[in-house]
Amino acid sequence: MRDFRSSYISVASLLAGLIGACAAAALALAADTPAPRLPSGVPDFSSHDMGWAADGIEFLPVPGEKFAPVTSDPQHPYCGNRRLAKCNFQNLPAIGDANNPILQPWAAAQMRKTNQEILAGKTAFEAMGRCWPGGVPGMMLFTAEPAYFLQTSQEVTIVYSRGPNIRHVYMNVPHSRNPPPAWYGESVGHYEGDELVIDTIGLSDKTFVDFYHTPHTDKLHVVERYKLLDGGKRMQGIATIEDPGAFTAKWKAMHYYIRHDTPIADSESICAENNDANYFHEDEVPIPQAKTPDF
Amino acid sequence: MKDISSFPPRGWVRGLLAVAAVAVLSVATAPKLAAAAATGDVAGMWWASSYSPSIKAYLVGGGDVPLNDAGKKKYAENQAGLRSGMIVDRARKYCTPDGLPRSLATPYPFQIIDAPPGQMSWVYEQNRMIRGISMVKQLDPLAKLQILPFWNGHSAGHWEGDTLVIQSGGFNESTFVDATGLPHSDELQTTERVRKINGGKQLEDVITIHDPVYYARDWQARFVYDNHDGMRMMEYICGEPHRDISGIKGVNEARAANAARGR
Repeated sequence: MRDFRSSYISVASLLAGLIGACAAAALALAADTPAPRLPSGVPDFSSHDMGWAADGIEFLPVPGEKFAPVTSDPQHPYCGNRRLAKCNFQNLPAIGDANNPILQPWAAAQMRKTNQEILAGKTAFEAMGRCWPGGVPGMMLFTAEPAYFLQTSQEVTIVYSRGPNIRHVYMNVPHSRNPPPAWYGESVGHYEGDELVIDTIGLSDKTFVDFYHTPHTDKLHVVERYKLLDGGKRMQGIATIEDPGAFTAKWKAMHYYIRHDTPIADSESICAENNDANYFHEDEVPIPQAKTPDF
Repeated sequence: MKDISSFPPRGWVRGLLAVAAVAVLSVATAPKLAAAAATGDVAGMWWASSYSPSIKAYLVGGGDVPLNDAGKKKYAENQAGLRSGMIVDRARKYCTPDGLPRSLATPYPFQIIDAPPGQMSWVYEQNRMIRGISMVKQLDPLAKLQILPFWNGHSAGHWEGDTLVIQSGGFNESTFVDATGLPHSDELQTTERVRKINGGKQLEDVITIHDPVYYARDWQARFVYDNHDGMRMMEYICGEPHRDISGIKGVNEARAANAARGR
């Protein structure tokens, strides 16, 4: 007589084995899913039907690095919208740690002065909120709306919906000789394996490096490296920052980006739409405006 | 006797017939599908060589714009408001987007980028305007687009041979048709036919304006741009010095007219 019980166990074992194998394979696949690539073979940052939103407004330290980006003053921990629940729903301003060893004395002094003004109640300048360009690497922290990478063989155009702001990265060419200082500077780029590498110089000193009003000079040199993670679900940006006029050493800052499922065709965020009126803060820096029409 | 109830024949005979039918259909429709899939190329850096504040200079067939009575009334209000300062030309004071069709008259260069995949992106130097055009989706009905109107409208495009056809709708009412204050409503819908001309040295954009609120009939304007591939875009920050465009025909006259009006 045929032993149905042993047959059942055999089939169940086979199924369990198959399920286990599939699960293991899925896990391995998730861990090693390769980043998407364009037909040309380069990594696809191009936001086919989505953009990239910055995950937070602060730079993170890069593990293993001696120097770290400016963070919140330990005496005055920052509490923004994302952390309200952790700090009794008190919205506390961003006060930078002026004791960070990367700051040259004048930069630390300027940060302390800004901190005092903020603590005294002054509304601090905030490029993203007042419709001014964030500069580089400041643009890496523009969070509210998605950024889009438009990749061609000659140029990567980065469109930050907020503003909008636009950066032009010219691929596989050297920098100009002494480019004039500009809000976004002059950016050239190339690919290194899975990374998009963007080298920027020619930055004016009108911007801050970060949300903590870390100053810089026009000697600022930034190298950004963008890499897709988790099969393209997240993106990592690491900036190497040097400025012999403002910092004591070369340092690195890291930031993560998450998918924002809005294609560029469905994205418009005009910063100057309503911000000409300072409804609540009369001491705010005016938004960019022309005294006379350009043409 | 042959069982005709089994017709069409079962089994391999039916399979063969099906394969043959698919093959015949494929051959018959292949040219049509290939034509539909054909795409042109309008990517590049483009720059107009002349500028006029009035869209009359660009009208197809000349004449005047066919304003209806409501349009004439609104146009008069806009012009009076711009003169008195009661109406602010936000596109020039705060550098908000010009909208369509005004942005097509820009005397600054703009770039058409065939990216990201499935979309085309128009990147303007002036006011850092962006137009994202879906090449894989159809434009939603106007009523749906009006729920979230954009300054530059919502756009979808497709290729007809070497011509890029862009349909747009869902505009907000914060822009003018041109710098003189010619009005449009939120029912504005446009169709652009964009193609390279003159051996690729120039780009032509013929736009059809459909706005039954302010215009008695549809009308068209034509814009032509020169190719400037290799030229780089420059920064445009509202109120700061920009690229020198005094060499663009009509710009100095427009600036002089603005100054004379105290604008």
